Amino acid sequence: MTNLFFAEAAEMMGFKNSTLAAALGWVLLATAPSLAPATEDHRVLSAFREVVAEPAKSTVQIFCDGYKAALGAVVDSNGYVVTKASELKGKIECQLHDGRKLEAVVVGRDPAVDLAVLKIDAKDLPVVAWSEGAVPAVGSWLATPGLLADPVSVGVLSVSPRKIAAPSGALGIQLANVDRPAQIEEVVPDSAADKAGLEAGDAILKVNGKEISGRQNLVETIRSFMPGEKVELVIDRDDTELTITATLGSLSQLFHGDRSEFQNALGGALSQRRAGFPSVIQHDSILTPAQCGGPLVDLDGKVVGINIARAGRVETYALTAPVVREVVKKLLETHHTSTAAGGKK
Amino acid sequence: MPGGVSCEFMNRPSVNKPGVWLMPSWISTARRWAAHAVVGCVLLGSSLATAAPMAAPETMPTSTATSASTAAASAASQHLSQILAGGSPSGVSDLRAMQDHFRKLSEQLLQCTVGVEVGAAQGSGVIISKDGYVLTAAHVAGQPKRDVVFKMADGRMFRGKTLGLNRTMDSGLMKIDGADDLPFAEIGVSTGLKEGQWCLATGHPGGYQSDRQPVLRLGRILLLQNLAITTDCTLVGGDSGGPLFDMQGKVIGINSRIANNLSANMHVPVGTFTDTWKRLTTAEAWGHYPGNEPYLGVAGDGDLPEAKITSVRPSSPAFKAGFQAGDIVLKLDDQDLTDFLSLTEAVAARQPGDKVKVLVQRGEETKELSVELGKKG
Repeated sequence: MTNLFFAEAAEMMGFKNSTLAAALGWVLLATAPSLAPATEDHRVLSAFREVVAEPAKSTVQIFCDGYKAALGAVVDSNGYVVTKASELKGKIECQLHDGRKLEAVVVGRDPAVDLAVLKIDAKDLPVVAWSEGAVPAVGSWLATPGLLADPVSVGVLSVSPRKIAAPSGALGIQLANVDRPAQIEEVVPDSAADKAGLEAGDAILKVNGKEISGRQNLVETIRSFMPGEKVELVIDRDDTELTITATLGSLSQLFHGDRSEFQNALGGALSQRRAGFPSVIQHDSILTPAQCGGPLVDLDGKVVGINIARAGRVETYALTAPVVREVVKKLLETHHTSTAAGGKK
Repeated sequence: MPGGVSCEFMNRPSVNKPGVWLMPSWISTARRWAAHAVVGCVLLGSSLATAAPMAAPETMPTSTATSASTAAASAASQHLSQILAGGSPSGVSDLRAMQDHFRKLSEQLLQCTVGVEVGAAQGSGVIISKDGYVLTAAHVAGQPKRDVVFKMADGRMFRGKTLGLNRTMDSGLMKIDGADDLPFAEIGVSTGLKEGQWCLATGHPGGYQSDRQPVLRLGRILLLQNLAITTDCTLVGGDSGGPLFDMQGKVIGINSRIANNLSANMHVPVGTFTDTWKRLTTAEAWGHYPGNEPYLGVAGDGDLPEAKITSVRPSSPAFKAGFQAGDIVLKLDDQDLTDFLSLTEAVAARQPGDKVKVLVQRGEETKELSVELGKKG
């Protein structure tokens, strides 16, 4: 890590590795903070005890093959728990607030939002209290309950709900600085565009049959595809129309050696699945990937969302309560229908 | 070192620029052109989304006219001030009071936080006057007099220029053109800050995104040093140049760099901007990024009334140029030197790689030496 760190810092500054090493060593030592960060400060966390007292009773700790894998929220008193789907694997167990540890089965998944509903053999469980109000304002306190008296983490609401797009496809072209047509000025070597045979000077007229009105339209169109998808491009090259098929790369692949990825990973692991959500609250609580999947509450202890991803050094995402409730409702209905039809208990 | 003050250039007041600069990934020179494909489009072809509607802040409890409740309100406000100055909340009512304060502040803080684009680089900044002076980081500005595009939280876009920058502190100034009624934050003072006091940081992590307002983070001051304020307001590339605010909403720092720890987020103390305001507004660029300090490789005696060399470091630029212990340096280029400090300053005013002519007196004769400055480290 250290070497990588030096190399990275040096590269950023445009210096050779050796020149920064001494300075960095000294500085890192010198800036070791004398005070605990707020989120690890017991005095700050304990102020939230009353806030998380009730929601903690509806929070479960999920184990996969014996390891803590996620948190979850009880959404139905008959033993149904919602959690983050992509963290689940192997033998699943839920530890309840009362200490019981019960085996769980997945009864529904929605990959579009990365939620799963689990069933445990328990009755009369306390169900989370959903917030019925509007999403709290930016700057509002948010707490992530665990099974203990203190919350797992606290933070403030950083950004009002927004969609987090799935990873974007990319061609790897630089466009000419005119609004229309969408004309290629330069092709990134080894990019999707390069492999497909696109050339500087080509104007892109159509993508999968859709007319392209100009450069912005092209950018948005390409980004709406996922990496790996094939697109058919109609281009104008020297007044001749050609059809070319390209397999899209990803934007992050285009910026391989990506500094933002490096920086985002400074200070802790990120969730594997951290994009492609219809509506999330962004907050600055520091969670590990294994602390996602559980409820996020306001100061009334009401659930405003389900933590769905540790997404970066500065950001944790929670799917908003309405999205979660809708998905849970749908998954439970499907489950009940199929169990009724299958005659299973 | 022979007694007295050792004024070797390597020992200039240390420049502690730790960690990783907070620029987004796509600004590295090697990939700069690739960035045009992405950033360029957003800038020139995008229909800027209007600011996402922010939830209305909860109304503060209105004070009644009775003196009893006024006294109670005053006591409550004093209690809140104590917490914000470095205390811990002790229960839900304290948390609510803090939250009301954060919400009210945040709304105005986001309005004066801007996304900045300088060439292919993206960073952040904060407006500190209604006519559009913007504080940022030196490594975001890069050079004086470059074109900048400013993107406000309300969706408005402005053009302007970079002004001065101090690489040693990582402070930079920019100016928005053609605006005279912008929302702005007041500059606070770096002195009087206390470790433990609560603070808020804003900026555009990962670069400006039209569907996202500036991103708010809460933290506390963990460490105060002359060259940096360290907080647990987490930062990442793109936040560079964005503001750190105190609980009065005044700018106390500028986001600069991070290290491999979530509580190692460093901000330029705002005092350096006020201290060097004239140089910044006149578009002067000075100082050196860490690891990029010019290096000659001689030591001298600072107490003497002449720039006398006491030792020459092996393999240093000075060594290669033929400097010898005992040489008295008379001139560096056309500049007369009066003591060792003046030599130190003359070298510090140049950049690594600069070729300089040095006039030295060696015994009875004077000699002109030609030296290419190296880098410290």
